[in-house]
Amino acid sequence: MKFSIDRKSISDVLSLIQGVTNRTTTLAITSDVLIKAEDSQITVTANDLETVFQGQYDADVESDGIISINARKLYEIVREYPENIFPVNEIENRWIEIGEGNIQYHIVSSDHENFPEHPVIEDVPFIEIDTSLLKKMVEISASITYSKEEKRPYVLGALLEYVSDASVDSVALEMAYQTSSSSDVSEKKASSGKSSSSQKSSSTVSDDNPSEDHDTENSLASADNKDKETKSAILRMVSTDSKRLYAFDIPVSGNLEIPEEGIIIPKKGLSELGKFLSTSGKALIGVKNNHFIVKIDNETMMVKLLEGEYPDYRRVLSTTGFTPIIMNRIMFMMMMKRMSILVSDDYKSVIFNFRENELVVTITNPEIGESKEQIAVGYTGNHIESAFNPKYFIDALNAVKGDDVVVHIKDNRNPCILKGHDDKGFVCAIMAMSV
Amino acid sequence: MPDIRILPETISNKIAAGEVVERPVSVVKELIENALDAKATSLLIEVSKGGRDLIRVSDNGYGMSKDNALLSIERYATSKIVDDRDIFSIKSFGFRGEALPSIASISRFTLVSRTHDSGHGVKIEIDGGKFINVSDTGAPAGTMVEVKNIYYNTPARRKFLKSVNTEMGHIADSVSAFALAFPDVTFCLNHNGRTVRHFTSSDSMLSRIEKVLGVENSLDRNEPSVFSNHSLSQDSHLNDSDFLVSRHGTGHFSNSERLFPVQFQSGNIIVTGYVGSPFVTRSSGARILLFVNSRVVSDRNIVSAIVRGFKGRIMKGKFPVAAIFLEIPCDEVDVNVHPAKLQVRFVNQGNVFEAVSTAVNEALSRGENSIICEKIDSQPGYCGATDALEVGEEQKTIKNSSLGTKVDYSDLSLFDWEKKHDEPCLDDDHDSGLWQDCNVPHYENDELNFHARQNLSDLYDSINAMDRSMAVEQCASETEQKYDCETGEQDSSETVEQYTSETGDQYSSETGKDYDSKSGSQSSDEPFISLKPEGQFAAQKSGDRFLSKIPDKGRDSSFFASLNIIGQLFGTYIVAQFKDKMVLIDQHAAHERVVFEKLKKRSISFRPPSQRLIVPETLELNYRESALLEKIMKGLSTLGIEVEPFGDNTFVIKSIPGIIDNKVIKPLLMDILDMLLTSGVEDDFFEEKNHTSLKNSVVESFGGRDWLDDILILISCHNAVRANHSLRSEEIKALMQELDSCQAPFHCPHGRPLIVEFSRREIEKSFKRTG
Repeated sequence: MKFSIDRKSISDVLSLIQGVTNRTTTLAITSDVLIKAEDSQITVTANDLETVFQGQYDADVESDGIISINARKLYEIVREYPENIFPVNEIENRWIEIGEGNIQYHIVSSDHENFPEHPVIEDVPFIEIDTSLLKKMVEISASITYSKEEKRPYVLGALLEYVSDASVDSVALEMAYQTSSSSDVSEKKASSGKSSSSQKSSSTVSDDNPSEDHDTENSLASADNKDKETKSAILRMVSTDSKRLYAFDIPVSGNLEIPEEGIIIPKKGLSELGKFLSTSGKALIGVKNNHFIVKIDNETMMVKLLEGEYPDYRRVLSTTGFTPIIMNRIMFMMMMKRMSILVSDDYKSVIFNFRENELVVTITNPEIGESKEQIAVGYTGNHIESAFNPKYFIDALNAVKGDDVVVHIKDNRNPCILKGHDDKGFVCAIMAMSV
Repeated sequence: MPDIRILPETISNKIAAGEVVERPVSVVKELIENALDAKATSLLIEVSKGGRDLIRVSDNGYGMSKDNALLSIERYATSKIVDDRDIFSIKSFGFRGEALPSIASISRFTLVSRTHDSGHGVKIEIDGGKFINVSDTGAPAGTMVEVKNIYYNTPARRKFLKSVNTEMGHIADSVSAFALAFPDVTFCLNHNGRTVRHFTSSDSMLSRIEKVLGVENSLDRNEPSVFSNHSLSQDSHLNDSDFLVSRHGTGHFSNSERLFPVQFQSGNIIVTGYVGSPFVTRSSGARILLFVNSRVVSDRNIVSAIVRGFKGRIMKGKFPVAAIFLEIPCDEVDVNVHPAKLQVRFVNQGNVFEAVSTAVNEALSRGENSIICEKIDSQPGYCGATDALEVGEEQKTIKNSSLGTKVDYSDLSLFDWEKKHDEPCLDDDHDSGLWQDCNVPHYENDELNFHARQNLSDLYDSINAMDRSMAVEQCASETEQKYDCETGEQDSSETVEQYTSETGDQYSSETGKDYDSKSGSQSSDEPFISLKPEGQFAAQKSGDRFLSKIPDKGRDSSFFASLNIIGQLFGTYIVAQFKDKMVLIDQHAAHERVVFEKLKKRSISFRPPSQRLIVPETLELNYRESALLEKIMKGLSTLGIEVEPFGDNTFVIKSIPGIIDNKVIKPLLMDILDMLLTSGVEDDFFEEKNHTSLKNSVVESFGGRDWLDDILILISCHNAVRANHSLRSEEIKALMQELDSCQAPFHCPHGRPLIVEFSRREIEKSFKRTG
């Protein structure tokens, strides 16, 4: 086998797959990359038995063949190689000669026969999706990490739920509508019931709430209309570590053939997928043969799904009986960052005190000291004291878009539900701590 | 089907012998117990060929009349219990009436006995359970039992006999154990005509324990080794055959710093004895001797309680050496569990466990403190001894003045026990005598040796400090208690205060109100079963009384700070000089200990925040586990683990401690449950008080907090200075000062030693300066 390829293009792809091939494993060959040269194209494959990447690239192929070579070393060589054309040549006994003229490497390669076979999946019912949205969804979901000894599938993976076309399944859409695009609907119902009182009691809330509801209604209505035109629905990814939970929604068109209860995609694969996805263009996604498949042009990524049950998360996101409070996102985040300075390994809870029109946040770390901040918020109602880990707020506030967020709070046992004021695609639940 | 018949007695005796006489040592044990039950004060045990050929036990006890002697060889004939109530409060060793007939059924058996007031003795001969002859004979007062050719008529059993050395090792161990339990009794063990163990009644408790535990100073007896690291290899040669090495006559005193006295009472459980220094470890628990009401027992739970007391001082999988005596009311312990009575069962397993581990832990802390309390510039000469004398006298004065005739130490069974056991370090009446008798002459002999003198005075100081602190506490607690009971005796408390101010402020925190409040809180959260006003425990009136506590506050700790720091080695070890020793300190281990203790102190002072879970974890348990979990739920919640029942044997974990919010909780909780289950506390139920939950302290002491310790150890490991990290002298000094304030400053939290020493002699030996 002998080929040469543009250094930049092979460098990009090798950089991309390092996450797949650099995993510590007992199966050494999974740190290799498989390169197949054929018909003036090379096919690059990386496979860690869970995530498979495959891409086709134009190359100057002199003779066909397949090699399996250590991905890390190959990438390092490519990175430092001075010429624009990168020549690879299999000489004998699986020795790979890289370079030409003054610079030459001889690298040992493995028997490509041993390279794990990846599932050949054909006729995937792909749907088209906005790449940047998918990237955001995938990255946010992968950002909730887990420890090494973790075994719970709902922590190891994120749930992907597809709610099909309204005309096909209106109930499902209704549910998605309610839970995803915030419980504004239920809130609206609640607030309309007691609208007079809420309007009187709090200027901020009552002023904003109806408008918020109104906006939502509009946006959802418009989305609804659009959905109906293009036969679209909402695709949602849910990620949790049992201490907080994110739900990220994307409107999509077309029909993904996934089971009603959704699929669980390992977060490890999702974070690889996040690197793979660019910030513009369209991607094709599909689910088949127990794999989640993403295809962009000449490159494909397949992630093997996790087995297991995903707990019913909808209950956690319900904001019935909660009080919404609008807060400036940046201000709230800065406050949490200042609070988290006093957090230590064994003490990481910040106490939130919601009182009439004010929020007082305190942290008292017995070893370091204490801190207190007070801000005016549009809160009316009984005094609520609840404790949270500020890190989770910082993460969530980074994930949400827009200037304002809506914090939903009920008591010291229920989670705090955080939503974007305008960004309806993201909901976060943060569980309370008890001190 | 063949007819059912009642077995002839010869066969039933052989069957009983299978249980009772497992191997020759069982015979020795039964006979010694009989002798002790007959109040013998001197025992001669003669053995040949590891007991195969001959076991002969002669005592000077009551002896038996002819009629009694004849009855004694009948099955279920005993003088030790009368009616069924006695079974539940057994004070004698034997009671089943099985031993003699069983032994007689499997050997050639001769019994000679004479009572003190009888003119002649009686001799009974039995051969394999068959009665041969009974005759009058001349004999010394007491009883002699001779067991020849054991198992001669049960060849199957004979095949199971191990080598002579092994069997003899067991016998020697057994005799040694009795010698510890009965320090007033003279024991002499001869094997094939040679004396292999000899304990005279004049031996002190300490010297007996030294002999039995084999804790001897390793290299040089004149140099008390504070934390000798050499002993590991030196002592580990002890095994079954070491009885051949006579340990008689090694009456050196310097072991005191290697054996820490245990003295503790919790409720009606009294724990005494000695534990070895954590630097002396074994890979099995074979050198942990346990006595319950002077009966030798083997009990895994108590062993693990002792090991737990050593936690953080020895490494996992290692065992200390110890001799622990438990005094517990007869009705709270069941000895009728095992045919040879090697096992016992406690009514309140958890309390026993807790008492033992606390006792051990306190003994170690106290012992280490005493080392720390040593001053590098301690005055040479007699000061240590004279101090002790003064203190002793002063205490007597206080006793007389403040407590008058009302409180006599001998009223209290514990002190009875001490006297009985002649335990020098603990009995303040004795200690002045001890120092005079033993140390001072020794010191004078060595006067020419400057180093020896230095060391001796150090040792005086250390032991005196320890002694004094304990004595003061005892005295204070006694006084305080009496004062509480009998109001109006203003004098007593004043005297105590006066006294403490005289002895220096380091103990002042232990007295007065402080002590009062501590003991008060102690008694309130520990619902021990109230004392039975009967038997030997009648003298104690109050529920909980700590005889000794760790003098942790205001302790004059300057050991590490007083080290003469020479420098740093490999960027990893701190080299220092302590008197005439070179000391190496592992900086990482040392700092780890400092950080760990800080974190631990903190974790105790506040309830850890707990993180609620979005998805509660469900636990499917078996019946036993769920019954236990139900009981510890409350205790767990104070540690930040909220568990709720979820029907049947299913539970849900609702929140987890914030400190481990990235850990998987289920295995951790199962570990806690397992630990509690194996320790047997699950049966501790305080029904009379309607307690449906186990005490928190029990949960914690049984491993409920282990996970927290593990986490804290991990954190401290990460936060401690690493090896290969150069330290400035100021940093070293600061580290040394912080070490001084640690509870267990000689070990890293994993239990590895953080300090090792090399004596001047060792170094000089290497340079061939001295032989």
